[in-house]
Amino acid sequence: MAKTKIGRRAALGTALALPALNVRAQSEPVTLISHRYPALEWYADKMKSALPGVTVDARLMPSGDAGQLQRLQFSAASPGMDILWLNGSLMAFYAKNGWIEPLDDLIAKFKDEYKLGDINPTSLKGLSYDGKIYGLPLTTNTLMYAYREDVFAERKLQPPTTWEQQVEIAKQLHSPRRSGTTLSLKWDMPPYELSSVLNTVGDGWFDKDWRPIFQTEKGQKAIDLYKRLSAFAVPGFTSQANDENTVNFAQDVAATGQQWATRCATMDNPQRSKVVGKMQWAVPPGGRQALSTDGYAISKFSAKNKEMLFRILAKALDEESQRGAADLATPTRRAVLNDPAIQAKFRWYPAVSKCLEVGEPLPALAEFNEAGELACKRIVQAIIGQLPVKEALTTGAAEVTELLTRRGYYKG
Amino acid sequence: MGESGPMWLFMAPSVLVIALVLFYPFFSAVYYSFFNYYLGSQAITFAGLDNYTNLLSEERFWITLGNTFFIVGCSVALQLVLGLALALALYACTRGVRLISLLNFLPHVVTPVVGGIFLKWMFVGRWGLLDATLIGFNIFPPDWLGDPGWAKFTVILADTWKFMPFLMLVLYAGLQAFDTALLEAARIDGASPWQLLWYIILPMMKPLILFVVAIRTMDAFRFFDLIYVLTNGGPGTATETITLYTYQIGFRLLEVGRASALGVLTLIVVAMMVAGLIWFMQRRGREAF
Amino acid sequence: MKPRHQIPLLVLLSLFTFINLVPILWGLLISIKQPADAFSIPPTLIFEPTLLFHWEVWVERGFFSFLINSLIVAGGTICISVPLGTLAAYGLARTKTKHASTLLFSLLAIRMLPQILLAIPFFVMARYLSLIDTYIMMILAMVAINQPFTIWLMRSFFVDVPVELDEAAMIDGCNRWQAFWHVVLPTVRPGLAVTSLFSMLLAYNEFLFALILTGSRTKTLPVAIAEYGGEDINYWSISAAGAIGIMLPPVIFTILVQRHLIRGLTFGAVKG
Repeated sequence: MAKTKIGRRAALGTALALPALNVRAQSEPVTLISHRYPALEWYADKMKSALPGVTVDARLMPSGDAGQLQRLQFSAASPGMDILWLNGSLMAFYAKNGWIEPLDDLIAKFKDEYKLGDINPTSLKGLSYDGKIYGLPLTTNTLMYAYREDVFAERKLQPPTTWEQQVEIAKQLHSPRRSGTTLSLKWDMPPYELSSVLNTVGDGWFDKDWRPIFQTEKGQKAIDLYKRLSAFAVPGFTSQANDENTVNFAQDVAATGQQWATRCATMDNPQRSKVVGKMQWAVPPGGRQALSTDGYAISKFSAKNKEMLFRILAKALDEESQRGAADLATPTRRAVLNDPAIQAKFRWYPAVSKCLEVGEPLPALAEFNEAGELACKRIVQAIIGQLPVKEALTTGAAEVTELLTRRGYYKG
Repeated sequence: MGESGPMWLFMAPSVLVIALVLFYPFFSAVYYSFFNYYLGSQAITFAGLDNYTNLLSEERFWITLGNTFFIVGCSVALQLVLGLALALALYACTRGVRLISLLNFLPHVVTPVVGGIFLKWMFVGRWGLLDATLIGFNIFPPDWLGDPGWAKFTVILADTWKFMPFLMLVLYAGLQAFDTALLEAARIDGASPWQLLWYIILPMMKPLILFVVAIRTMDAFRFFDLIYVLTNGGPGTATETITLYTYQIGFRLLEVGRASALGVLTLIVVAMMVAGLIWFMQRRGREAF
Repeated sequence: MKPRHQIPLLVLLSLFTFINLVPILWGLLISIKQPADAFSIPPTLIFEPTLLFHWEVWVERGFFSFLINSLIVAGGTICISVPLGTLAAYGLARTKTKHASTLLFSLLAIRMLPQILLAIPFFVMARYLSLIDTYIMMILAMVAINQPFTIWLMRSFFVDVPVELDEAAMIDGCNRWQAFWHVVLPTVRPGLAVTSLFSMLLAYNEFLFALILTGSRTKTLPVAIAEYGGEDINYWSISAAGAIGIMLPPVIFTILVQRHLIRGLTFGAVKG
């Protein structure tokens, strides 16, 4: 039905030439290009019914494809995409290039209508670049230290407070059948996986002038530690990301490891997991683990009314909607997050709250995706023993420096 | 040549469509390779041959090129041997040929995106079918995707699984088109099966073998989907082929100029290989081209 | 071949076929299991099968309309690509000038450039012509990209046909076109069958260009399935269900085409 209507309108628009074209542009569906996970499906559905008479065409796909399609739309200055999903790193890159709209004015204008003051400031900060807000946050996700409560109780173990302890625990718990730990070191995962160890054992990723510091002596210690840890990891960790990680826990082949908060619900679902009720979560050793804020932004090249687009986003992220998605992703509205009923309903929420307090977003460098990928390729080579740690890290740092020089850094 | 006139007419429609659709994309890719074109900035500056010289002086370029040669060489050879053996076996078989060829063809029907996932479920550590089965017998197998050596092996196996059916079917169709009288005559003269294969069947199939090897070499050079899903070039750069590297530069680092230069270099390398292949085949025996 | 060789041959072939099919069979099993059973160690063969994911894919997620799109694109591509490619292949196979091999080789060059490099200019061009999300753009792109392959494959079949056949026909009073249409073309029917099959597969399975050139109206199955590629293991079951379903049309097409591959059909013209 809807399709024939659009078709007829399109035909009419072409027939009536220029004046009608504007009408046509307004009545064409709003296009969303988004990553896909259950919470994003939920919010995409909410957008479809957010405003009467406005249809939303949601294209949800794995983050790699979504990012590729978004960049293609931007680089062609195409109005074919109106709203988009993004995370902190993508946001910084898009904002720096001026491809997405700053939302400060719109947030101020609709603050009361959509109770936007309730949104967690940490999450808003996660989608801010250069003092401006570029995205409406839907969740702030955190890595957590996941472990087998039953196994820990049996061996009278406590969650580790340092990464050195974690190596010991992984070693103790390691058996051929159930590995001591699971690691996610597939292409774009290492920056998240390694943040905690680099921030607490090493010196972090970058100094304040964006010069790499992950290769310092302490950084080498951190990577060497991970190299030792990887001896007790589930095999194939260089090709494993969040999904494989989740199955590793669910099929009882890993005893500990870092896991995103969005994955906790799966662990207690008997259709997907064999460890129902046996998992517990804590702050990763030393904290300072990766946080990632996901949200929605508006494309600069959209031909649609920006206020209308903003209202779709704000409506999809209202309190009622976030309440419905609370088991899928940590909500960004304080009214939902701090609701005792919700905190009690989902047993991992107390740990999530603690993790949110001590975590850190990835460096707010617009080119972090690119730099991180270069650096981590080398770091992974060090972890699997293809290169000596020191050589790998210095090579990686040199490559990152070269990249950022090409991008115009370090001129002063 | 008096008759080349109408012959060109046969080719015209096809050439026209190719030119209309591919002219712009193809030449703009070549054009970009001479520019500093970074998707993140609006400025596109002329770079001359910089993109090329930078790549050629880069260690990673040579590593990925080496990987590509190794993976392509092994997998095309494996596919040819298996595909030819299977085609001949089918040719010799008298019953169930249609069913067997159909079933063996299925891996090629699988959409590449999905084929990668299927294979991943076979090879992934611990709960992949291969590992899970072996662990059931208390054997703890090697790390198929995480060990540099095994990862190469797995990737070669993956490409073979996906494309061997293509060779099988084309070669089998080629066998169908044979003049069986020739085979019969040789058989009556007392030729052994190996002699038949070596002196009659293979020479007759040379154009087809050349075709499939050339096509597969070219395609294997662009081999992407399966590696992308299975190892994404890892661990480190162990299975990183030149196409994956192009993808990395073009779509992850967004340096379209440099990626285009890498693409043109790939094109030159493959063109030289295919030209060499054609020359090699032409040099010996009757003209195939 | 002697009959006593038939049985071991058949056994070997069956064994090989089974091993070859394991990844697909395993995918099929995953598509009818709950994720907790699907990846258990050791693998279970006893479980409660569920058609939930197949139902979800085809009914709830609307894959049926994507299937129609895929069939339109694949069908359109065959209808244009195979005739054009066959004509060109015949032309190339019967031309003896140097230009022919130059042309053949430059056609190949297009195929050697990594496709991802064509993606950006293709998108820009389609956008400029307002042809994003239309069947025509997708079909034209598939035809153009697959022409070199089609021409090469068909050409290798024409090369096998003796030139004397054309000449005999022309001496009998046919012109070039009639010789091609009535005499040469019927002898390369297996070639046509194989070529149509591969053109169909290439167009039907294309992912990158489909991702870029199609939208909600023309989205094809590979794009739709890839959209469930990750980030939640429940999607894996959906991918598996979609992956099994997407195979049916090409399998049916293969069965239809197989009839033409049967031996004895070919070269009647030469001998007769």
